[in-house]
Amino acid sequence: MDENDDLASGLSPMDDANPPGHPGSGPRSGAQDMAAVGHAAGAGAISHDEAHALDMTPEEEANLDRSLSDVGPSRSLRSDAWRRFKRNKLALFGLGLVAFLMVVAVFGPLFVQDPLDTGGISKEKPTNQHWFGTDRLGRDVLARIVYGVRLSLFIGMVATAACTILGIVIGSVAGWFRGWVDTILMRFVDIMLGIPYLVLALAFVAALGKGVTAVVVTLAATAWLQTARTVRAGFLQVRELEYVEAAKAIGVPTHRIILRHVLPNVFQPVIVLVAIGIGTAILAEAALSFLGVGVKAPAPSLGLMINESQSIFTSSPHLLFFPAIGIIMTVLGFMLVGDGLRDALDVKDI
Amino acid sequence: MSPLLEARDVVKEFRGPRTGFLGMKHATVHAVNGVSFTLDAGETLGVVGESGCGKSTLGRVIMRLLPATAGEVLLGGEDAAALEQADKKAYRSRVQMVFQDPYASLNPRMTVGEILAEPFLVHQGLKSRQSQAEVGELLRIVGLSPEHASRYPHEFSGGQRQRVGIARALAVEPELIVLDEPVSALDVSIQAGVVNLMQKLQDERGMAYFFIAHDLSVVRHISDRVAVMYLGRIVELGTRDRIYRDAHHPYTRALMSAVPIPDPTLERQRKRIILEGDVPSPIDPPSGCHFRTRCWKATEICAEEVPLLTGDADLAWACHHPIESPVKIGSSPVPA
Amino acid sequence: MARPLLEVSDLNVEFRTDDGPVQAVRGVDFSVDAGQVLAIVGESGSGKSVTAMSILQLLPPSASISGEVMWKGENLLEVKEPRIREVRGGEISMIFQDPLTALNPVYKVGDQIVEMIQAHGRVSRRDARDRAIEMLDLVGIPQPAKRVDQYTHEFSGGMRQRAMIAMALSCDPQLIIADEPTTALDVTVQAQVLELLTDLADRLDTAVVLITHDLGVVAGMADRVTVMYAGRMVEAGSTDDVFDGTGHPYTHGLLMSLPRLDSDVGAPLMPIGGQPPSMLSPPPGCSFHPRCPFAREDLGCMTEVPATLERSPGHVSACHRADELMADGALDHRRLVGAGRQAADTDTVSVTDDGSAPGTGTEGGGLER
Repeated sequence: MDENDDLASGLSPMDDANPPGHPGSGPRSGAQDMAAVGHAAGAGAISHDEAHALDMTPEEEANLDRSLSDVGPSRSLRSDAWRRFKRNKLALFGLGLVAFLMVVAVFGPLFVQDPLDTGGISKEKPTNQHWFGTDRLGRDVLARIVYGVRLSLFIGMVATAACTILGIVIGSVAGWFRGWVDTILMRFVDIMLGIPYLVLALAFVAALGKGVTAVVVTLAATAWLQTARTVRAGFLQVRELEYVEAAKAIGVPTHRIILRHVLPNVFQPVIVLVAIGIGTAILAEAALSFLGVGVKAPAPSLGLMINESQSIFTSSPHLLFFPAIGIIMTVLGFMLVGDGLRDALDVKDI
Repeated sequence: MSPLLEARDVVKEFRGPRTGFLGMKHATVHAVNGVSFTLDAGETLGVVGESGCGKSTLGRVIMRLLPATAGEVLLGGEDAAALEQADKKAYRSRVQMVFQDPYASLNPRMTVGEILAEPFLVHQGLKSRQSQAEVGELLRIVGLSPEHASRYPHEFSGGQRQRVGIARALAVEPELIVLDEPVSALDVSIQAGVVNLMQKLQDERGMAYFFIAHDLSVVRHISDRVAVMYLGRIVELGTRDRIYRDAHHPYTRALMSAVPIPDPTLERQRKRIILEGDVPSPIDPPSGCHFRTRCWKATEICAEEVPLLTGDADLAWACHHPIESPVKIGSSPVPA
Repeated sequence: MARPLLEVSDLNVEFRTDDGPVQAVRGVDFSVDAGQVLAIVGESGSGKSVTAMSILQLLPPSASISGEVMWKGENLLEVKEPRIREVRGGEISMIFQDPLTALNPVYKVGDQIVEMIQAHGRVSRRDARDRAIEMLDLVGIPQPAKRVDQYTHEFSGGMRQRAMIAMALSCDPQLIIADEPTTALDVTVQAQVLELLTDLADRLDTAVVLITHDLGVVAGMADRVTVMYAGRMVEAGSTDDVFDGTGHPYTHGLLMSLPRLDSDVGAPLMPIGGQPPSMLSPPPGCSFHPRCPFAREDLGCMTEVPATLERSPGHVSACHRADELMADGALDHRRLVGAGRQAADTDTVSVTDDGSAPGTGTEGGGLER
């Protein structure tokens, strides 16, 4: 193999004794001289002659520098997302629906009758006085639906808020500390998810009793699982990114890394989960109330109203129809918004 | 006087994929395998090697983002691990890092101003309003405009973002910056500007650079000394001029000959050393000299004995069969 | 003169995006002869990959394409689905940057090659398999008979790229489009793969369209070069013409900004100022003018798109000041950075060496170009 070395060493080596441009001997001197010319021109040319050679006035040079710091027009991530959301007509419809129901829930009670007033005629069809008719006890259905929507939204939002906070905390802990903490928490989540939802909910109700508080606690306690998993997955991914490493390199304390660098970047799927979660919670509340283990009568709950209409809906279909429409509108509204957000925020794994 | 940074037999191992009966055991990934070097204040040490050679891991060990498995890193003659344990912030204000990917190294949810204000908050307790002037100055130093402090990273181009990354490292006025492939993700026309900026900053502030790269041309341009790594070990270490003019290690030679040169005339004359196969897995590196499985000069001794770095301060190589003739590109020696 | 193998003329590609239409490719022309290597060079966003993809109708539906891609007398932009599938992989095949996206992880490597062969001709499974083994052997994969039954995850990075080349070659294509084939590879593996591609192109007389950002790779491989910037072709010609008689400030800027192994150390690099343009609103006139040190308002750089004119036979560039700058030597990067010891003395080629050369190797040790 050594002939290779010999092959090359036949050439005059260029070492410190033979600086570039040193007229060597033999057939290669010509090439060397050319190179040397290039060298001389190159080394000196850069600062002064260079500008001349490039034909640049100082003004032109300044222009180049300025264009270096050019940044396009301001474009925030939020406005990008909003623009994508706006293009989704169904999502906009959902947003309109949610907004409408919010207005109904907040201001509706000012305009409708007392939902508990049993003064009307029993099971009256819609009339001028009772637009949606009355129920078996003579209560105004419109009033009960307005209050029912109010209650649904309240329960849905409070339960989702609670489950989201719980999910974020547990997901963050599991995703940040990993190891056995993660194993224990996530196995627990897996077990909980393995139990049929209704069984779980009934168990909670059995323990807590009926009523709005019990329903909220039940819903929150069962809905945080998905959020926790999503947040954990986000943590596992984001904590490996270079900007988290960079924050560590700067010396940013751990709590600030979690709050400022990791959490904000795992939030997008959580936002989608919140929108969908409210819809799911409202549906679950209706289901529990329909089964008689949710909100206690005579509170105006949409699920309860459907339950009460069960035996008589052939003769008084409006008692089933209006509360059903109420539930469908609320759930559909949040689901459409959630779908739109998922597309707008480009969240893939929910 | 002790050097600014000294590594003594640094070893870093990771737990690899599961092996053995029922996956009860873990394989060991030998990322860094007994590396020693020194780096003086204001000097640039270029570290080159292909993927899997452990150069980035070594950078993170120096940065104390990863603990060393064995060996020690000394900063100014003192044990870096102890320094960092005693005062994390103090260590971080002396050693900083610039990352490879300008798209992943800036938090997308923070404005550039917030990103640059963070070091001042952490180290000096300055609220972002109080550090506005410093942030503006940093942006100006790296060639950006202070007005862009309110913009988010996604509004900048790759080169501009890398400048923000450099500004962030400068904020604490470190003595040493670990540069982990800072230009390899940038477009060619942008790279040069960032390289020039780094050189200018070094001239002005006298920081030392630990410059990690896979591109031999960039390393040659920016480094005072160069370390060539292969599978977790330094195979050759020397001054820039010596390495590029008479590297002795076959791997260094092969690496140099593989670098394409933008000159068709030269490329036509070049005779390449084409290595066979890929870099072996760091889970189960070859015995003796790690390079022997791809080396055309390998003999029996290479499988038996680990070659040690021999030579002097200007050029040291770890090879049983070093090549003595000078390096040439095409028909010409490498220019000084 | 014989007709070129592939002739692309006035190719335009526009994408509809959220932010409005993006003109990714604007009036690109080029042609490739049999056995020739054409490099299309540009940075990210220059439209070089889009150009390559449009040849085989591989762009997403949001792209609208106009122009002509003439292949054997038919316009590939207009042919129908069954015909384009015949061409894809059969007459023209592609090599991608990331072999993992091109090779299916759940099929054996050999089966994928077999499938490719059978899709393009009536070949028995047996024969196709033999052909697959032959192909793997051709690209230098050791133990091809064993490797043919392995999955991609059992291959190393360089080997996957070889397997993809084997697949691309399996139907004897007349043209290979290689989109950044070595960008994801380490430099020693890159050298292997480039050596292999050049060698195969020579031996099989296959034409290659090489999409790359690396001028070093271009210098080593290409016969002709097309330089793209912001969707337009700014310069095209033989590799020697483009490197040694550069006719566009952008090409010049690229050559000046590169740190190189053969330049004098110590000289600062000369970056191209500014930032790459946004393709949503490319600059008017010459797209390069905001970054061009030679741009002059009175010559129309800011307002008029420069015409693509011939600077020497077969060498064109699109610059208002090209003739003047070339005459001044302002675009001669060698004169300016002292790079490139132009080997005037070609006699020395015979003793050229890097100081050593590998011994015999199955994978082409020390092949000389």
